[in-house]
Amino acid sequence: MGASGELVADMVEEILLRLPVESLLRFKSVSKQWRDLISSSRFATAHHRRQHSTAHPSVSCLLSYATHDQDWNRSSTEVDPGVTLISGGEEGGGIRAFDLDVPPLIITSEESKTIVGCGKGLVCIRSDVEGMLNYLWNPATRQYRRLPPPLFGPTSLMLESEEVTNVILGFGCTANENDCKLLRIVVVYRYDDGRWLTSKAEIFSLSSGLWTQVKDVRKPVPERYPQTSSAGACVVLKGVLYRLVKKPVLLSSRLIQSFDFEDEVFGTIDAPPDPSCCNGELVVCKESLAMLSAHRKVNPMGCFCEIEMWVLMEGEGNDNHRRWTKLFTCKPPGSSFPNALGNWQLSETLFLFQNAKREGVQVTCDDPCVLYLFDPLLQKVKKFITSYKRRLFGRGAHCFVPSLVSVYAQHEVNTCIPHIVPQQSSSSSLNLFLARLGWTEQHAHCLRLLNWKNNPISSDEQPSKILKHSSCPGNANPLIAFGVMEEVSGSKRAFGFGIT
Amino acid sequence: MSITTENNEKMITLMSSDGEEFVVEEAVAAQSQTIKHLIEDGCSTEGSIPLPNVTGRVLSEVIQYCKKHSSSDDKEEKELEAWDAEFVKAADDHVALTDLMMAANFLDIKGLLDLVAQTLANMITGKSPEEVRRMWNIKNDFTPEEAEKVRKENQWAFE
Repeated sequence: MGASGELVADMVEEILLRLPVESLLRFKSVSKQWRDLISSSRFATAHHRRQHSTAHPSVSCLLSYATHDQDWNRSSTEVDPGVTLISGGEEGGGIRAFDLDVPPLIITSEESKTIVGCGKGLVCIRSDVEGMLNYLWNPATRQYRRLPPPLFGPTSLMLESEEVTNVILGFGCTANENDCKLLRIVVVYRYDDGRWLTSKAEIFSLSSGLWTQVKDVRKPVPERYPQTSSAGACVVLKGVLYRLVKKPVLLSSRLIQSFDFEDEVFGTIDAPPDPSCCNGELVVCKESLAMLSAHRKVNPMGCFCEIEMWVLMEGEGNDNHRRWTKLFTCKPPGSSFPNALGNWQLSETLFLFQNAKREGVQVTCDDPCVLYLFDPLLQKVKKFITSYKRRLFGRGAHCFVPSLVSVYAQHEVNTCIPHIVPQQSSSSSLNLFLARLGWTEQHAHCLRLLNWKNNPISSDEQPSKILKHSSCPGNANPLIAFGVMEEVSGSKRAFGFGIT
Repeated sequence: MSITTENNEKMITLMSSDGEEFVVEEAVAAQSQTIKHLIEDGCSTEGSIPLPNVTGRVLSEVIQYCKKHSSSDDKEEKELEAWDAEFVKAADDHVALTDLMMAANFLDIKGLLDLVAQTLANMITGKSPEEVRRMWNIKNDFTPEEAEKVRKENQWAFE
């Protein structure tokens, strides 16, 4: 052991793993050793896992996104779209809500933006109707990227006779938290041989940095029109995505489509038998899939609203048959008709409601917004936050735990070309690389590494795949670059040139 | 040297780096995975177990912790938590805590390592990089340009 009070490298990591993201970013300035440790993807993963394994993650937050909602009276104050972070509440501590700085690139466009989902501290944002332009954003590190264009675009991998009618996205991480994936379902109308509705599915994996077609032969249920409801559309629970969809034949009834992010297979579950559940929203309750439905009732005293909570209980015995059970019915305060926004805290049993519609009163942006929390354990509704800009609660709520996780895959180079300096190669290994340029607008000349090996790229399938990708229409500046890459003490540097 | 007490509890002797000897029950010492393995390998039968990495002052604290945690059962979790909180408070400053953490790491006592690491983490959460450097005599090996670059990249965390 060294001198008294001296800290060795192993111990530094033990301490840093227990710090919040904000402190870690600040402590990158302590020394090179600390910077390299905090910047490494290995540390980011370990830190994220630790945050998750603790019973109460140090910060458990809620994100919400506002867009230009057409149905709201926009004659009053215009509110810019934004993301609100609600944090705190640890053991009854103060709940704080504040606006996050959304990267300007993500918000400066006319099209409406939505948060697709959160996983490992990353937020996936969809920025166009076709789901072609998507971003990954880490609000804690402020790092963001534009994802590569998907395979199924208007001009690629689609037939002449096909017309896209609906695009559904879902984002989340696998049950083991190793990878984050974005599922994209494209619903198309085919005109050849009569008219029929079909669907295609593809998936983007953060660890590979590539889109691939979902191999499962079962097709996702094709839904012709986008859902108007925004929040409960998708729920991710233990690495499985759940979505409420209309049955293709009986449009009045619904079923739940599932997708396992790990195995990449689809499945279906029947929705609760109660017909009122048609207007329900999917949520998580006590670590089980749950459905919340609110419906209006009229009695001689006037109008009131009733909330029903259905939970998908694990079956007893060997049959493993899950069935829906109505947990309870309750009344929210007043005559308000609540929208379920999503969950507050990771596996906590609290729900958010928005006091969205008031009887006979036109809702304006100037009205104070009241968010309610619903506690299924006590079966009570209580006020959560008031007097906050109402528009910011316009869309769904997402559980979010800040992390250091990078929006790039480990093998992807994220360096600006002007800054690439060929290093004197000492002990480090040199690698040939082939890369694609121009995905991130943040740095116009970003390299996206697709293949690098100790040996020159040989006759494997990769190079042709890259060429095909890069010639995809709709890409910003399709470029191919090649050169050499080296690793110096954990950080990758590349030197090469590109062709258009 | 093994001694057996009245209630048939096997005792072992631990020796600190500065030659201080501590006689403790085997069950207490075995909270340390390192010592447990040494006992299993038969190292405790001849004389005391030398712990060249741990000073007497630190070792007495470690033993205090192990004693408490081997005598308490699961029911007293709340009480144990309160005791832990008092225990790290008594360790006083970050130098003592760092030494304790090093000992917990060497002796492989997971509970103590967790406790001390968390205490130190809580201690530095709101501190500036300069304050952290001073705490552990860490050398700032950035050039002014590099320092500025790192700072700029993570600007918001300084606000």
